[in-house]
Amino acid sequence: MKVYYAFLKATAKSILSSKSSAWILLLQATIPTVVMGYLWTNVLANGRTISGMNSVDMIHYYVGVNVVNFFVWYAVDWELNDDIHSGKLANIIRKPINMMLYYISKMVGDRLANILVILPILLLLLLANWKSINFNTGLVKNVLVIIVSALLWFFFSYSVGCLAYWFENLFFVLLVKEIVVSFLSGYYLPISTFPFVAKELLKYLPFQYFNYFPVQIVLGNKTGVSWEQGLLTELIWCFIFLLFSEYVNRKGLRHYSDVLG
Amino acid sequence: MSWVKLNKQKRIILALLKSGITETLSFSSDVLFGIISSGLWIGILILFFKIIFLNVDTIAGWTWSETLMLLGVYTTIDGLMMSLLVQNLPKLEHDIREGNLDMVLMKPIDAQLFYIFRSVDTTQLLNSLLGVLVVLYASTKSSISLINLLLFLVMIVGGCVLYYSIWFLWTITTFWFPSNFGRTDLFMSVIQVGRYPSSIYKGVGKVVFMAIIPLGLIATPSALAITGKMSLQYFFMTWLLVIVFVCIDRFFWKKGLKKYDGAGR
Repeated sequence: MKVYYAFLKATAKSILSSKSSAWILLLQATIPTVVMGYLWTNVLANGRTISGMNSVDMIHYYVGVNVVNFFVWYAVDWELNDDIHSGKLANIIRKPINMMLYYISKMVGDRLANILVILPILLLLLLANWKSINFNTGLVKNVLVIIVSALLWFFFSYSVGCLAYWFENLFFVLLVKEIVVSFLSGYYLPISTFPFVAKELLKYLPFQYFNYFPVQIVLGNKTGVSWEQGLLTELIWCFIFLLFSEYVNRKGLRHYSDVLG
Repeated sequence: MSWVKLNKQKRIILALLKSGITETLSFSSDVLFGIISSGLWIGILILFFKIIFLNVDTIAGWTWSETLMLLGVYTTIDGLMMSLLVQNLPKLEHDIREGNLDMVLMKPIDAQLFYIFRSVDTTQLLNSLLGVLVVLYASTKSSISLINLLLFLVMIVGGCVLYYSIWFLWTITTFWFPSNFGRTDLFMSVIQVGRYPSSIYKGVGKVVFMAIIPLGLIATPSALAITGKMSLQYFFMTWLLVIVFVCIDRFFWKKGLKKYDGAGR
């Protein structure tokens, strides 16, 4: 484990030496949230509601979405794509390490460093939204849901990123994935605003567990599934994507070795 | 600039465009996924607003067909500018940071112009094509006069220039802050502000998104022009900002080049 801790530390150090990345991440989350705030204040003016949500609920939702994203959405698929096509992967696979654990330790290092940089802002957000956060389920449960969501996101993205072994250019594939997943995970609109059939179907698919489910749990809103049921579904999907990503990676590495000759 | 020099620049730009098209067509899977992503991109955007309009009649004074027009215009401008800039401006950022700009400065073409046409990603033009189709569909919902159509085209040009100016200015901050993190990512998430009606902004938001970083003026003026809702004052204010931003771009580009020493800046 020592070696993975070293990767984690190196990634965190690299982020902390260039703090601008954390601020850019923060701006990336803040500006669209502010704009969404303006949009929904206009849409839901005069006490109007959509699926029982007024403009304040909507703003809380989008703040929650971006805070959860900050912990969950790590672009391991783009990173894999870069490493495979730049040839950097050859250096990684030559080392006596588990490739997936290498990327997980990088993700953890990246997240920890980013959290450290923007900790004052996170604390301010926490204080400002104190009343909206659900502490009834317990802080541990909230944190647990976010961690499992981060892992699920990682295994899912890792599986997609492995396509870079076969695709010359994965840019558009990743773009398609981002658009579809963002929509189905509730990034653009809360899933409660979706038609009934879509809502029912999404309960059993992995997407809403990237975003909508953890946000609603943290905000203490109804999700359509209980906390335990949701967590169990997340864990099942985690397991499925873990197996799938291992399989695709193994196949891909064989292909990659062939290409390297 | 002499006629001969202009002609030379034109020939170089045409050659760069030709190579961009050839490059795109050589990756057929890119074209396929490009079509899918373009369709999804605009489809999800329309779905997003459709869900809102199932619950309300207007958003800040914009009806469904006007909003559809705005989405079409935004997608058209976004696709066009992305095709020109998505590879070139990150490359400019990289070249400034790594000290590779010298080679470009020696080429017989204005370096700013070179970083528009260096590598054109024609797949992105599919977005524009779909945007145009949405504009055409939305325009069937209302009668459009010739003058409004002309104004619309003029404002599209303004929107494109503004789009470029903001991104370019953001990129050349690398001369002073050579960090290698997420400039393009930040721009891409922020530019999406342009697809919402600018009338949603009030107070500080209005100053920020309509003047300081005028993302709200990229697509809204064109949509207002074609729907016949644009005042003369709005027209002149938009173009004044476009000209100001072009001048600021050029000013900081020259300043940046003076600061650039070819060794990592």
